Amino acid sequence: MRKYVLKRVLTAVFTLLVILLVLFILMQLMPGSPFNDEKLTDDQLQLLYEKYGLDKPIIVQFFNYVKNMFTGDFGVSYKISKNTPIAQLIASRLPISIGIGFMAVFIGALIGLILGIVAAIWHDTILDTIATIISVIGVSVPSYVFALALSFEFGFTLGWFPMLYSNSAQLSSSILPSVSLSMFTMASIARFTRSEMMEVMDSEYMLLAESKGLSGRALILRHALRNALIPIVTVLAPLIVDLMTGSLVVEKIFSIPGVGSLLVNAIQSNDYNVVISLSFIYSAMYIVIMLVVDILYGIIDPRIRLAKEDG
Amino acid sequence: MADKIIEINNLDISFKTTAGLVHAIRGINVDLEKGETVAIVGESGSGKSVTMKAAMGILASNAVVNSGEILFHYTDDDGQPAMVDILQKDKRWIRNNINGRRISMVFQDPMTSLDPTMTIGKQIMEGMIWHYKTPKKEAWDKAVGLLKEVGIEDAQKRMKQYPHQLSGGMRQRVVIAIALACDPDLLICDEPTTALDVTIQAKILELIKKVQKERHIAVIYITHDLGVVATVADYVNVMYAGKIVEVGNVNEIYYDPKHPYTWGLLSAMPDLDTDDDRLYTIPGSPPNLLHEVKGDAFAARNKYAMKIDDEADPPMFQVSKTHWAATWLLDPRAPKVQMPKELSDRIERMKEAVRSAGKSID
Repeated sequence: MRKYVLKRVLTAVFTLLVILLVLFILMQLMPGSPFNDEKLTDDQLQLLYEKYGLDKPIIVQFFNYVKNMFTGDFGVSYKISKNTPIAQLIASRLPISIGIGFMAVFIGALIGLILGIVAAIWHDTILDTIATIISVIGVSVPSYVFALALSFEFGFTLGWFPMLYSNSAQLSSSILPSVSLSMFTMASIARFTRSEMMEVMDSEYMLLAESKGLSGRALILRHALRNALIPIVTVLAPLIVDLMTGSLVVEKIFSIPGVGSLLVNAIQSNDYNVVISLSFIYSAMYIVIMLVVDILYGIIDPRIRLAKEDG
Repeated sequence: MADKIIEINNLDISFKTTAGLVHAIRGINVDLEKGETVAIVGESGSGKSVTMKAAMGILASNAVVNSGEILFHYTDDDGQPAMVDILQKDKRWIRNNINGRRISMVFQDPMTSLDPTMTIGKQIMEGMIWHYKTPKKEAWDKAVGLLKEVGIEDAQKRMKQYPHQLSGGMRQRVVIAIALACDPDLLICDEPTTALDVTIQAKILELIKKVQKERHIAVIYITHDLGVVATVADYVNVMYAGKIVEVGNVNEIYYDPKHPYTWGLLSAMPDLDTDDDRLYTIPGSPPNLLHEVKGDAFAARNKYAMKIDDEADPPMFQVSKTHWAATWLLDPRAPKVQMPKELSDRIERMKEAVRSAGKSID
């Protein structure tokens, strides 16, 4: 198991380096530079380039960046927040996005699982139909529509929750954005759980467990759910990353100072370091979550765990 | 009357499907006494498994029991003899009193009938803990004992292993251990060897036989393999299209079959002692039970069918005290028809083989 994890971590580091290189090349391909100001003369531009090391060949820039990264230096912002270290810029925004994303995943996965299980147990009944309708709405309606609707209904009309994000009431002002973000996850998980549960409940080992005389609840909790969870964990992983990295529109609607809006601003203003660092962090999060999922897999599924121990 | 354990009387079951009502079980009777073995033989789809699921109260939710009773005799919690019609009891009662406790089942495919995410030990202990609240330690010791009883070595080590770490034959032994966990009175084996290697099949059958003898329990085999039946069963029920068409003790069915369907089944058994290089098959396929069958369901495939077969379903004609068959050929008015020559030759050879082995055939 330890050998396996080590191998995975090394692969991850290598993957991240490749991603970083690709990002650097893409930045070069973007039109313009961070200093698109008509008032700047060529000499002044040259000075700016030299100051930030942008006059050097791309490969040198890359290695300098990697070298600095190991000391925790992600460079500075050129444009959005002049000369602020990226680490500082992101540090204030990322936790907000992750916090709301985590809440959304939690709400979405929990309700999605419950809906899916209910739909599978009472399949082809009215409960199943209701769960299916909720799922279809959740998958097909974009999160910002939910955001607007929730914000109007529960924020404006009823006044139960704040309409805008505020640092003084983080929890209550996170609820509406989290719920709107969670709808898609909830719907996907519900549909997936339903089909997985149906398949598991049809299996011979469920029949054997049933023939032991176990009650319905024991059957579902001890035998069906655990087996159905294995594939569900896989679909959950990319959904988690999607949510944690923030959603631009939902952040706008609730005016959340998250990373979603930061990235879009940075791309528009050619703020190289911000784009690179954020994309890099997204990739890293993705890889880490995939790794966690893989390890989680082993905990749920003994076939995988034991194979890893042998290998 | 000897000690009856289960009596299935006039059981009649339909399934609601999107295509319509499928009349899967059309009035069947099966009797079994303590310590005995009965085999239910028939093609796929003849209703063997459905009958047994009805006895276990685990019929699919679209099943409708039209009529009949399944009487089960047991000793209740106070040690008093009791009898119950399983079909009249609700699911909860069956779950708490019958399933796993007094009737357990061995399933066909051990590769799929064990929960892949639970250790062998937990799966064996689960039933005992559920029904009897057996303390964990005691359940563990009992499970180890069961594993040894079903012939698994390193029982302690195996307890902590998962199904995928065991071979098919071992898994089937585990399934048997699970079935025996609560000391049932009746074991239902649903094609217990079909999914196994031929070399393992005999060992599993021997194991079931040994367990049956030691524990003095009744066993019902559901199978399409007449070879299996010959080695294990006391009585045989031949089932066709939801009906029992011939019943008798094992010698009667093998050496003196009366129903043309039984003739077909016996002829279709592979045989090495013949010059015929073709394997006999029964022509055609079973009727679609979506449509009500008029007359004898086997008539269309039966070359001995008479006019009456298309009009009226034959009743059970008695051949001997234990031997009955549902074919109009046994009616006194019917022409005398003998079983096919190939089959009678073959039966003679089988008898000869048994005699030379020094056994009695009565």
